[in-house]
Amino acid sequence: MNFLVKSAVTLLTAGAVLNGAPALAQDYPTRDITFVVPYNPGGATDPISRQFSSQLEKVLHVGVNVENKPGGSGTIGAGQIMRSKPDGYTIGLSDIGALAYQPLINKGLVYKNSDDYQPIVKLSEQPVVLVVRADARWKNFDEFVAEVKSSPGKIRVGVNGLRTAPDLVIQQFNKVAGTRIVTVPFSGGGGEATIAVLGGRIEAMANSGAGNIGHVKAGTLRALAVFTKGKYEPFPDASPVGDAGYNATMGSAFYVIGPKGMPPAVLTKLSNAALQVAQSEEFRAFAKANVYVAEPKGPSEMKADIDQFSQIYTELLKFIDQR
Amino acid sequence: MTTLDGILHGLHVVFTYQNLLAALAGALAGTVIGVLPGLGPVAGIAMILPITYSLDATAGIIMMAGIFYGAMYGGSTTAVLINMPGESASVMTCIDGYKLTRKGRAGAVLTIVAVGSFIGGTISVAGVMLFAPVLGQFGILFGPAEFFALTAGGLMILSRISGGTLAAGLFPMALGLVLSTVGQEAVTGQNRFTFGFNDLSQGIELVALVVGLYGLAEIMLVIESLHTQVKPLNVRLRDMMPTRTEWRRSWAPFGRGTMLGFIFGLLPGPAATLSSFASYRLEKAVSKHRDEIGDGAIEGVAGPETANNAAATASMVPLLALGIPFNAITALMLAALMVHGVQPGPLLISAHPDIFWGVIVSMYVGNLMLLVLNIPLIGVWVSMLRIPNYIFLPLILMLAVIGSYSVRNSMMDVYIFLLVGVLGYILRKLEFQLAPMVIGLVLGPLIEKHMREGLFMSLGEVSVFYSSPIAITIWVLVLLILTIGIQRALIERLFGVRLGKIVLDNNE
Amino acid sequence: MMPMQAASFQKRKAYLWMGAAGVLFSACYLGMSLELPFGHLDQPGAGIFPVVAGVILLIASLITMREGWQFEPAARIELPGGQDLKRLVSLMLLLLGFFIMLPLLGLLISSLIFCILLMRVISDLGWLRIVAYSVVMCGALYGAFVFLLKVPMPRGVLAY
Repeated sequence: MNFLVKSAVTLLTAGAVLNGAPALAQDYPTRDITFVVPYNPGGATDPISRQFSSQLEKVLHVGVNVENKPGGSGTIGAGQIMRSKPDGYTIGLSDIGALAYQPLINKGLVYKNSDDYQPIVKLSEQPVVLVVRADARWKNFDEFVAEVKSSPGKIRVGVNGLRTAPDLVIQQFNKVAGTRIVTVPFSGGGGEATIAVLGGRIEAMANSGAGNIGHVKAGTLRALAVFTKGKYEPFPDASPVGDAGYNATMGSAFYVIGPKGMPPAVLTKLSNAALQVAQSEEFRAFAKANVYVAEPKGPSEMKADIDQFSQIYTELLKFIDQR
Repeated sequence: MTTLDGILHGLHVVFTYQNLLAALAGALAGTVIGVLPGLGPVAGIAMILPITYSLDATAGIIMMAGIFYGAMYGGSTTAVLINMPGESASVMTCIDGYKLTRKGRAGAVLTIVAVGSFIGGTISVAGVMLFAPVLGQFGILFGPAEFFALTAGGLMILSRISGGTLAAGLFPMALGLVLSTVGQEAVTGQNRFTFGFNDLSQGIELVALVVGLYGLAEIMLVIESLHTQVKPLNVRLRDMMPTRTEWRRSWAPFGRGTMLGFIFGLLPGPAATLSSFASYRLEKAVSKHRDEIGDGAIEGVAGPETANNAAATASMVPLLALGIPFNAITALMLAALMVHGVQPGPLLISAHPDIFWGVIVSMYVGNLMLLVLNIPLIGVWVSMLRIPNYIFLPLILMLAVIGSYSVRNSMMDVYIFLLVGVLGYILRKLEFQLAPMVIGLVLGPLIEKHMREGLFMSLGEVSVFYSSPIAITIWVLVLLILTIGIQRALIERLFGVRLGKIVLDNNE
Repeated sequence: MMPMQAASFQKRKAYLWMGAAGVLFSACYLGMSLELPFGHLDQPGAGIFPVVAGVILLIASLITMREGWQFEPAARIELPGGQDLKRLVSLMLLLLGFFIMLPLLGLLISSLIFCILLMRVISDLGWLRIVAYSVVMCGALYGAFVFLLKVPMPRGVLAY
C-alpha cells in the first residue's frame, strides 16, 4: 500500500508546483476560468450565463466553469467576484440592480460604485413589459393611464419583488406622470404574479419580456406597454412608454464584471474576447430567442452606463422616500 | 392532436437511442443522488445541468425529469436504512422506515417504497397526460389568500404530526419557524438576523439543516455507542419481500398518497416535501393502523413515499402547460428549455409536441426502468448496512459536507450543518421530534410571504384571507381536523354512544 | 446492557434547562424583531412575522418547562461517559478542524486528514490500512465531485 501514499504525495506536489509557477500575463489564460453567477441555478441569469461562458470557452480555448453564488439580490456573488484575486481567472455576471441600486440602500456591501470593480462587458438589456389579462377592459395604454389617473391608489401592478427593475420603472412612471400605481410584490420567482393576473386578482403585471412572451403569444395575456423609447420588437402591439411622453424607460441589464486591479495585458485580452462573444451572431441569435436586447459595450462605455443608472436611482429613491 | 396521437408521437420520440439513454441515465443518476445523503434533486440537477445543455432540448428535459423522480425513489433508501433522509421529501419516511429496519424489515420496506413510488409516478403521469391543459388552470385558482390558508392551516395541523408530548412537537417547530426568518426576506428584501454575516443573508439552507439534524445527529449517536451497538440483522432473501399483510396494508396509503401528491404537485411550493408531510398526517388520521404509525407502521412509509413521487411528476404540469415553474427543480428545467431557445408558455404543448409528449412517455418508461432497477438494487442497499463503520461513517460525513456545501457553494452552510447536528443530538436525547423543525423551516417563509403579499394585494384589507370560497373551505377543514377530539366527545355525550375507533381521532 | 461508565442526567432538569434556554433565546429574538420595520397594513413590513414566530417559541419554551416540572424525578437521560464521550468529543473536534481547514487547504487534503484521523479514532486498524483506505475514499470523492461534476469546492492554497 506504500506506493499509494507515495504516488498521492507525488501527485500533490507536482500539482502544487504546476499551479504555483508564476504564469506570465501574456500567456493568459493558462487554466480554467471561474464564472460566478450571483443567482440560483434556474434563475433568469442562468441561460445567458451558460451561453456566454460556453462561447467564451471557444474564444479563449480554456474551460469556463459556471459557479452559482446566490443571495442578497445578487450582491453576494458580486462581492465574491470583487474580492477574488485580480488575475483574470475569476469573473462573473452581474445585473444593474446589484451594481447600481443595491449600493444605494445597503451600506454593508464591499462596493459602493463602479470604481470598486472592473467592468468587462455589457451583454444585454431587458425592457420591462406591462401585461394585462387578454379580456381586460383597457384596449390600449392610454385607457390604462386614464383609469390610473381617475382612481389613484387602486390599480395594482404585480412585480417580482419590491425595488426590482419592474418595480423601479413603475415608480419612475409614477414620478414623471404624477400617478399612484400600486405595486404588489410577488416573490419566489415562480411566476406567481403571472398567476395573479391570469386569475384576475390584480389588474396588471410588469416584468421583463422573457417571462410573459409565451402567454402573450398564446393570447392569454396582452402586452399594453413597454418601458422603452422606440418599439420593442418581440412585442409589436405594446406601445412604447418613452414615445408617449413619459420618461420612464429603465429596464434591467446584464453585465460581466471582474475584480479591480487586473494586469493590463490580461484585461485587454479578456475584455476583447468578451466583447467578441457579445457581438457574435450566435450570441445575438440567443438574445433574440430569449427576448433580450443584445447591447455589446466595452469596459468604458459600460462604466458610463452603470453610472447613469446610479444617478437615476438616486433621484428615484428620493422620490420614493418622500411618499 | 388527440391523446392517442400524442402517445404514439411520444413513443416515436422516446424510442430513439439518445432519448432512451437520457431517461435511463437521468433515472439512474437521480437514484444515486437521492441515495447519497446531502445531495438532493436540486443540487443534483444543477450539477448535471451542463451535461443536459449539450443534449437537445427534449433529451435534456427527459434527463432532468428522470433525475427528479429518480431522486424520489432513492431518497428514501438512507432514510429507511440509517435514519438519514437522502433529501427533504424523505424526512417523514425516517420515522417509521427506520423503526421497521430495526425490526429487520428493511428489504420489505424498500420494496414497498419502490412499488409505491412506481404507482404514484405512473398514475400521476396518466393524470398529467390526460388533463395537463385543464390542470394548468388549477394553479390559477390559488392566490396569496388561498395559500395562506393552506400553509398556515397546514402548520397548525402538522404541529402534532409525529405524536409525543406537546412540547416535543411544538418546541422544535417553533425553532424551525424562528430559523426560517434568518436572512434576506423575500417580499421587501430586508436582511434579518444576519449579524453582519453576508452569507447568512441567503437564509438557513434546508439541505444543510436536514442533513445535520438527522445525519450528523445520528452519526453522533452511533459513535458514542460504537461498542455497545447491536449489529444490523442479517437480511435474508425471504425478508426482502413484504409479507401479505404488509402488502394489504399498503394499498390504501398508495392510493391516498397518489391523490395528495398529485394535487400538491399542481400548486406552487416545494410540492414533493409538502405532500410527504401531508400524506403522513393523513395516514395518521385515517389509517386503520393509525395507532401504530410512529412506532414502525408500513403505512407511514408507503403513503409519503408514494406522494412525493406523484408530486414530482405532477409538478411538470404547471411547467409544461403554463410555462411557470412552481419549484426550484422545474425552474431549472425552464432554464434548460430557454437555453435551447424553447419559449415556455401555454403554446408549448402545440408548438413543441416533441417535448411535451416525449417527456410524458419518457416518464412512463423511466418509472418502469426504475422499478426494474430498484428491486434488485434493494439487496445492494441493504448490504450497505454491513459495511464496517470505520469506512461508512467517514464516507457519509464527507458526502454530507460536500452536499451541504454544493447547494449554494457556501461554507456557511457547512457550519450550519455542524451546529444543527449538535442541536439535533440534544433534541433527540430529550426525545423531541425532529420532523416538526423541518416543517417549521419549510412552511415559515411560505406563510409569511403569502400573508404579506395578500395584504399588499388587497390594499390592506384583512378580509381578503377569508373571502374566497377556496380559502373558506380550507379554513373550515382545518378547524374540523383540529377539533376532532372535541367533536367526538360532544357526539358521545349527546347520543350516549362509544364511537371508539370509527371516527378519525386527532391522535392524542 | 449499559455502556461502560455511562453518565446520566435528570430528565426533569434537562427539560427545565431547555425551556429556560428557549425563553431566554426567544426574549433576545423578540427584542431584535421589534427593531425591524412593521410597515402599514397595506404594506406590511419585515418585522411582523418574526414577532409571531418569537411569541410561538416563547410559548413552546414555557410549555417545555411545565412538562419538565411534571416529570418523575427518577426519569433520566443517558449521556455518554468515559471512552464513549472521548470518541464523541474527538468527532466534534475533528469536524471543526475539517471545516476550518477546508477553505485553507482545499477539499482533497483536508478531507484526507479528517478521514485518516477519524478512522483512527473509531477503529483499531493500523495506520497503513487507514491511510490506504482514506486515500482511496477521498480520491474517489474528489474525482467524482470536483473533477467530474465540477462542484466548485474550496480549492485552498495548493489549488486542490
